Amino acid sequence: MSTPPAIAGRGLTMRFGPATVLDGVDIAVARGEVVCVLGPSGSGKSTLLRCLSFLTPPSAGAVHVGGEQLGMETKSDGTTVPASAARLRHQRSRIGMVFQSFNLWPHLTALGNVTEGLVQVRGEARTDARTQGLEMLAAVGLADKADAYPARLSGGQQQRVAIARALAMKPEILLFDEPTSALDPELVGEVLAVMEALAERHTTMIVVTHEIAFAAEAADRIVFMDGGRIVEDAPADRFFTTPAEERSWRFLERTMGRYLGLSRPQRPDMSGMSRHDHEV
Amino acid sequence: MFDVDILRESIPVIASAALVTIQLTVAAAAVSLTVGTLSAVLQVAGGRAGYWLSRAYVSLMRGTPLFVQLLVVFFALPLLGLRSQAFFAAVLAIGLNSGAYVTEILRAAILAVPRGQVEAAVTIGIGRLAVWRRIVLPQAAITSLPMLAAELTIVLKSTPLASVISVTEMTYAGVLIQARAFSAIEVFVPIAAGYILLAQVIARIARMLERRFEPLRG
Repeated sequence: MSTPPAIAGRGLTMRFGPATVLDGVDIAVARGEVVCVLGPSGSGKSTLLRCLSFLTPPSAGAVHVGGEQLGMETKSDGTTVPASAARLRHQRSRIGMVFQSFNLWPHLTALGNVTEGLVQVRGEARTDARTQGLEMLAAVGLADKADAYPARLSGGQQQRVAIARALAMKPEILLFDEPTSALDPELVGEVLAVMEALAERHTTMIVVTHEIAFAAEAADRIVFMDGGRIVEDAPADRFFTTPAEERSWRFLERTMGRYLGLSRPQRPDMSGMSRHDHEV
Repeated sequence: MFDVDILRESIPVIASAALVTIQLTVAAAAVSLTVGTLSAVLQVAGGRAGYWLSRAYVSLMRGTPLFVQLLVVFFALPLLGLRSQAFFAAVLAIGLNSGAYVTEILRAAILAVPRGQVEAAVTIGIGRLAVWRRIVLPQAAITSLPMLAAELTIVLKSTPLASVISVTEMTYAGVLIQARAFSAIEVFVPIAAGYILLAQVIARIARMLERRFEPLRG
C-alpha cells in the first residue's frame, strides 16, 4: 500500500446561499511537498484552505489527513461515526494555519502566543513549553522578542510569531492564507525568508499567495484556481514556462508580463482628456 | 452651627458601618461579575435557550427598581426555606441587579474580540472552554475595564438601599445617629466623604490595572 498523501481534499464544495464558492475541488499534497495556490481574488483559494483546515467544514466532500478523515472517527468495531469534539480538536492540531491578519492573541506575549497550544492542547508543563517556545521563536529569528506583546511588534514580526505558533504544535501540514498580503512591502521579505527556509526543510505546505516570485522559487507544484475550480495543477517549472490552460496563461501574462516582457499592458487612452479636466 | 462634638462621636460609628458598606460592595460585586460573565457567555454562545434566558434576566433586572428587588429577595428567601438574613439578601439583590449591566458590558466586549483570534485558537486545537477562559474573556475583561469600574462604583452607591431591609451600612448608621442627635450636616457630610473615598479607591485600582495592560495596546 502506498503512503497516503499528507492531506487530501476530495470533491470539496462550499456553498453560501445560492453562491457556490468552491465547486468540487480535488487536491492532494504529498508529504514534504510545497504547493502554492494562485488565482484571482474570489477564486476560492482562501475558502479551499478553510475547508482543508475544517475551520469551515465543506458543504460537500471530504478531507483526509494522513489517511484519517477530518470530522469522522472510526470505532473499534470498524464503523465510522462523526468525530467527538476531542477527536476533532486532535485532528485539527495536525494542521497548522497561518492567517493573512496574523490573528495573534494581543493579551499574550510572543512567547505566550507560541506556548499556549502546547500547554492547553498538548498538556505540557509551562517550563517545557517555554523551552520549546523559545526554540520556535529562535527559528523565526525572534528569540529577543519573546516577552514583547504583539502590539509592540512590526507586522512582519507578528507574522513570524504566528508561524512559530503554528510550528510549535508540530503540525503535519502548514496552511498559509495570503501570509504577506497585509504587510508593508518592506516587511514581506522577512516572512517569505522564513517560509523559504521551511520549504527547503521539506515542510509540507499549502500556500495561498499573490507572491508569484515566491511561488516560482519555493513551490514544487502550482494549483491555479478560478471560479471555485482548479483550472490547472502542474509542477511549478512547467506552470511558469508552459502553462497548459489559456486561463493560466492570461493570469501569468497579467501578473508577470511586465517583468518577463510577455506583453505590455495597454495604457488607457486619455488623449481626449485635457489637463483642465482634473481641476475642480 | 456645626457641632464638632457630634462629628467626633459619630465618626467611629460611621467608620464601623463603612466596613459593612465595603463588605456589601465587595460581595455584591463578586456576585455581579460571576453572574454577569455567565449570562454574557450564555447570551453569545448558549444557543437559543441560553440567549433567551440571559435576555429575560437582563430585562427583569433592568426593568424593576433595585428597591423593589431588595424587598422581593428579602421576603422571598424564607419561602424557599432559607432563613432570611438581611445582609445575604442585600448581597444577592444588589449583585443580581448589577449582573444585568455587567452582562451587557461584557457582551459588547466579547463581540469586539476579532473572530480570527478564535479561529487561530481552533486551528491549534484549543478546546471551546479554554478558548473562552484563555482567549476571549481575558480580552473582554481588559477592554471593558473602565466600564466595569464605573459599574462597581454604582454598586457601591446602591448599598444604602439595603437599609430598607435593615442592613446597617454607612448611610443607615447616619440616619440612626441623626435620629438621636437631631443634626444632619455633621453626620452626612463625613458619610458623603466616605463614599467619595471608597469610589476613589475603586477608580485608583482600575487605573492601576489599565496602566498594567498598557503594553497590550498599540
